[in-house]
Amino acid sequence: MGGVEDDSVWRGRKAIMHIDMDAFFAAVEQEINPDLKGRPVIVGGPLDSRGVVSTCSYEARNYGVHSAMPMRQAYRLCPQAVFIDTSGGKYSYLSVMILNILKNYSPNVEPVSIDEAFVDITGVQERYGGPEKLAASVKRDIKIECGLTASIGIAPNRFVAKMASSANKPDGLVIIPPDEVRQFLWVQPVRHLWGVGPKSEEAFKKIGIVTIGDLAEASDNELKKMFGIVGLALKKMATGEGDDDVRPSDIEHEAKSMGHEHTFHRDTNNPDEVIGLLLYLSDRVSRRLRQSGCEGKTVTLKIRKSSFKLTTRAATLGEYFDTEKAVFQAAKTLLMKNRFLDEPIRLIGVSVSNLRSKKDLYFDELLSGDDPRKKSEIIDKLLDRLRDRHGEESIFFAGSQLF
Amino acid sequence: MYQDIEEQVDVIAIFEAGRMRPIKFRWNGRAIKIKKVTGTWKSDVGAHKIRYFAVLDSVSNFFQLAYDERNTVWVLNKIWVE
Repeated sequence: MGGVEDDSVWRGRKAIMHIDMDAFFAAVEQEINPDLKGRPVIVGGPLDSRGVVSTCSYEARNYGVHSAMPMRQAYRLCPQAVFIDTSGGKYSYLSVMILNILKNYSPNVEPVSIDEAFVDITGVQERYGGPEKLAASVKRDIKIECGLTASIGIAPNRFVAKMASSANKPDGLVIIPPDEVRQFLWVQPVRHLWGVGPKSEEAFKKIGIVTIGDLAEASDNELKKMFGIVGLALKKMATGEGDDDVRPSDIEHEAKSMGHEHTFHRDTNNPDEVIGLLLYLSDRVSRRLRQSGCEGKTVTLKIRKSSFKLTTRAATLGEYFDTEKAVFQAAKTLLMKNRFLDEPIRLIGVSVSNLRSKKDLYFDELLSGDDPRKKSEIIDKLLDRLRDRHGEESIFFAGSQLF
Repeated sequence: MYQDIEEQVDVIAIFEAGRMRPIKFRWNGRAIKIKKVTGTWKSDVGAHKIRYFAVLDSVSNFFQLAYDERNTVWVLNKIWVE
């Protein structure tokens, strides 16, 4: 494993590559400021807030610091670290650079988060002399263009590729050919499977399941009795079966929903603060809808109370909308109707789903509508958009003259 | 540690191959020559952009400069001090 001599094992089989940037945010900081190299770097929210660690350098991990740990706890473990507030622009800029590098290799690139992506390299790898050479080339490009290291896993499906990329971090490359999937999986502890947390690990242990191999050989009846259909789904994964579809998703209107959320600095049920934040979030969400040419029908309000209990409530409106007013009114109604202000709130999220693209709508109306005035309005809007993007002379009426 | 500065500074920049690169700036009465640009990124503020440059001087002091496209000003955001 890790080096494949005979690439013919991939012929006719799916090959999925998972790229995981190593300690991305911390590595970016170390790259732009070489003084930080070799030192513990912790990137996250401000130290005096309730922020959590977004990521930390491998040097900080040696002190027990890890992602999602409260910043204050990270400070207690490693006070000598360099603490850096996250600043989105820097990281998303590099993330786009990395995605563009990946798109040079295959058009099927699915970003999973700012520092992770799946790439379908089925067939493509042959052009580079096999998956190992292709992955080495990707790693080299990322190193040269961004100065960063990535860990790569290649396997016949997504979840095995993801496990492979994390098997030898940092700067790793692990390739699991189709006939070695079971060998790779079965020796690993069951907690390495997607969806198995500490609680389910403990429950598995009680029935004698410690490794993924044990799970693969467990009886369906017992698993169903103890874990329901989740148990059977996990067994399926343990046998090496999994989703091998990569869904390029850089077009925002293909998103299923758009949302924003915010955690209060301190829990509150003060109506002015809560409704003020609701207004802000509704504005952000509706602006994103308009920017991406979408409109939606369903507003979802997510509330996390002081007790950490999470509740979501949704309302579907009669018509599609993309305005702040519509989002805010629906979210506020959900807030009041469900008496969420009765106890202090920690976090609020507003999202809009049931989306459709207004761009397609223009064409639908254009083709099906009977009202000539409306048709003319739609044509004007489309012309404006074309000119905004491609220049004034990119399109003009057949009878008009250019001056 | 990083120290926030956020002061407007005068910068000499060159434009080559479609890219802008600061080469020198004046801060606190002294001219600082940029030896290396170690990172560039941008962020959108409304319809205009701010372009950031992480730079090192000849003795590897770290500075972060920002070019505000709308107001055509350069700002020294932060420096690294031991």
